[in-house]
Amino acid sequence: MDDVPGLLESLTQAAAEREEGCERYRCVTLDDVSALATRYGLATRQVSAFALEHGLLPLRYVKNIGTIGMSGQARLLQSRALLVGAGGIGGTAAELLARMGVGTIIIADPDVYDETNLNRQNFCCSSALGLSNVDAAAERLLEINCDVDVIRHRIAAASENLPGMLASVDVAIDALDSIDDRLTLQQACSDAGVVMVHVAIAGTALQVTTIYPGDAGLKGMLPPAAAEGKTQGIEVETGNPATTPVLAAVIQVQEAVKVLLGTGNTLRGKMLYLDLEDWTFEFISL
Amino acid sequence: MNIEIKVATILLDKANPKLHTTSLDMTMPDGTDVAGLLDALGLEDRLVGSVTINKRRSPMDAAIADGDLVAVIPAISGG
Repeated sequence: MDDVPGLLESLTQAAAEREEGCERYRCVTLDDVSALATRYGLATRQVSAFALEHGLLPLRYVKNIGTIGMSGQARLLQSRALLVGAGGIGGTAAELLARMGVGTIIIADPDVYDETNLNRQNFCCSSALGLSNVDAAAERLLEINCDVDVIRHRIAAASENLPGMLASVDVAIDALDSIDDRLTLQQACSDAGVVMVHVAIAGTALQVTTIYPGDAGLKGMLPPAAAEGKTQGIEVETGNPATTPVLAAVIQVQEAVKVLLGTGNTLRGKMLYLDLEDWTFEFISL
Repeated sequence: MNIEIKVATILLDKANPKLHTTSLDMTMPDGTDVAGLLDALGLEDRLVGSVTINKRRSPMDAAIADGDLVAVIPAISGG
């Protein structure tokens, strides 16, 4: 970000020393960040990013820093994630992306909440029934982290609109609920050169893999899904209880963070299949 | 040939006849492929997302060899 005359001095003046683990940080509070954003006509994200660039830590991120570091936090704030689906997995994934401090979250989902969503969808509550998933998620995300820019698409992701949504995106989160839609997303991500983190659930089981452009990914699933018009899996019979989508989203967002930061080992080229009922934990080479 | 099979818990009561354990040993004719194994287990194709032979995802026409470990993973797509 370009220099903003006076901002660094104001941030430095507001910063207070804080010991966290073995490190000492100069931290600025949410109130200070918000006040300075107003004073300088900036978004809080810009103030937070500027602070991080200058070695000052917005207090809201202090518990992230021991793991991802100041530069990692700055990078997340500059990152853009496309979240396709804001239901059971997507609602929790959205919240985790916001709490990690991913700066721009683009959400696509055409649905509105109904009673069948109350068991598992993060932002679905009695008062939200009938509201758009995307709107409910966006409003809650801004309460959680005002640094986040939420871009809303109240439409179903499809081959004709995905290229636009994927422009300038750093990672795509697959929180869809049908096999053919996932294959469409994989193809669009591959065409756009975007890494896609896939997760799917059924009952107490989940699967996750991280697909880079050109990887086989979901295309090797059995039987050839698209050719047989198979759009859903065994979740039609098992349903989706409250716990599984949360765990799926946790794993998915951690994969996305690793992709964004270029750290750790991702699930590229392999799929984790996990069943919480009996602790099946299977890595499949793709 | 003898093969070791692991079937995901979620698929046990979808097999015909139903299975009661996730790990079993089976004797199959030489040359059996993935599709043949699914037939023998009485599992409908639509319920199966991946079959691995020795941990590697394999297509329907992949041949299974004596001593292989075969895992049957369901098709799941919920969100």
